[in-house]
Amino acid sequence: MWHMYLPIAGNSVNILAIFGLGGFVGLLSGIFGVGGGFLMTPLLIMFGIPATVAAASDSNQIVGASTSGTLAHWRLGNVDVKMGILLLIGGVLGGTVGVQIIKILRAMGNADFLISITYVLMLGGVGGYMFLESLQGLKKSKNVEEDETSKEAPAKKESTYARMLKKLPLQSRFAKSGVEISMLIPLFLGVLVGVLAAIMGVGGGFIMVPIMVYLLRMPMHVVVGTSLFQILFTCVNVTIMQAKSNHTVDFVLAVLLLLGSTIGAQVGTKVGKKMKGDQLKILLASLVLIVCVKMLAGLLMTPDFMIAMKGGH
Amino acid sequence: MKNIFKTLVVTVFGLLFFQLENVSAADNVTVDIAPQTVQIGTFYNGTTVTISGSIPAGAEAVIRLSGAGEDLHLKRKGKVGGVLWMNVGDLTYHNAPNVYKLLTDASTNDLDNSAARNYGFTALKNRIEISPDNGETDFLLKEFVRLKTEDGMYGIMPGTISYGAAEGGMKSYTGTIDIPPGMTQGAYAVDVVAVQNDTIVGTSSSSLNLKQIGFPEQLSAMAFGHALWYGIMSVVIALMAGLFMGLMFKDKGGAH
Repeated sequence: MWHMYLPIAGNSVNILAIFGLGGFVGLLSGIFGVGGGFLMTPLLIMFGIPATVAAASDSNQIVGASTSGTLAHWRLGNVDVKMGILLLIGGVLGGTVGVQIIKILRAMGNADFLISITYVLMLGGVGGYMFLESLQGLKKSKNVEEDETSKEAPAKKESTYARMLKKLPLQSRFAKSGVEISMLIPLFLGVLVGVLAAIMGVGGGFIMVPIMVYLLRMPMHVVVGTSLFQILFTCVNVTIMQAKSNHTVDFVLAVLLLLGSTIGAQVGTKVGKKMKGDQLKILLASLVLIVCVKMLAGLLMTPDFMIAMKGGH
Repeated sequence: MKNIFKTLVVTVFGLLFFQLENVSAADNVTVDIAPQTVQIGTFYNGTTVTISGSIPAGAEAVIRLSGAGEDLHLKRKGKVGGVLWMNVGDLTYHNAPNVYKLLTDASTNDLDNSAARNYGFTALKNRIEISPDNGETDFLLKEFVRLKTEDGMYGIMPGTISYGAAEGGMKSYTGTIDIPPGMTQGAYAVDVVAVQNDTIVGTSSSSLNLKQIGFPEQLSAMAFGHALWYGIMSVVIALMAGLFMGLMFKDKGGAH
């Protein structure tokens, strides 16, 4: 009674379990501005969904979750449309380049090794840096609160990085993000994330968020809203392409996930609103590090089977 | 001339005898599947199918359910640099049945060393071809059977066949098989073998069909027949669900 058949996945699932899974990942999406594909796809595979169908149907549900999340963040003034569009254009270009790179790597025969190493290094590097930086941020804010008599901190010396960015052409003001930088920067960073996402076979939300925080110097709450806005368009494109070329989108699975994730994204936005930027960052960093440790364990421990089905992330 | 005539007569009689023996071998085993067609509807979650019939009174039955052969692409895992386990090569399993389940009675515990060995997993060695051939076919086939058994698509189920009382030199048999929800629609071969004194004394075959009906059937037809529209519809509905949920939460004073 509580099961539903998924015609494209060719399996049935427990409705409540998938609803709960959608809710959990939607919650993370609303809080952190990530699509959650790096968590959702392995979990769906555990439910008996073929890897290719899991990844494509997840893209379909992210369309719903990110619409819900973007709307909630839009009302809070957290979406920088101009920045989002530039990152998106860069992401599409980067994705196209990345697909070609992966073809060359596959032809050379060492694609899987490079993908696994890139994945672990990216997760470990991004997660580790973000964790330490936000930990310092939390300590600092605590110290400031304790020392009420402290005088205004001296103006920070402008870094070489910041001076270099100011010299680039096409300088523009991004009002919502509160930064003035060259439009080439988000475009270039979008390309970078697009390339990495295509190589690793993921949406790239967990790379995009730290890049917006650390390299574009955007406030964390605007980062979350803008990331969701950008993910929405990426996933619309991926869903249509996967449905047309590979017939791997299971609409029933996507709808079951959507029911949970759209609610989860709204609740997540409310939860995120109550938290400080550094608290958000440290939680996301912990999540990324957990996934990194799990992947590393998978690489170090003897697998149960010496063969595996192809496909998926 | 006389010798040629003799040879001809012997050959004709020999062929006739062979045919007659085959007819009797097929006739002494019957098979009936209930239901013959499993309907996969919206809330389908697998089912149970009963395979029954009759075999010679002194024989034991073995039932094999096998799916169509397909080419499967897998990855070979191996150690890189003596430390990391990862995919080290591609493998293709040609003509691998998507389902391979064997039902036996409680007394048949070593199918591979019985007369029905050609119906067991040993038979897969002649059926499945693995490429590239790296000289480890036996190991890779064992791993494949283990992987598919874990998925619930392969397996030997001892004790799942029971017998009725013998009557007129025949006895009835009944086997029940669980059809997992992951078994896709299509035709599956059901073979019944009767084994007596380490010899196959009869065989019979039938087929089980799995068919999507109603909503799953319509959705599959759209996904494969009108792929672009199916993709656009999936996106539009997801967008509307997201917007609807966003508006619902606004009305409840959730987000400001």
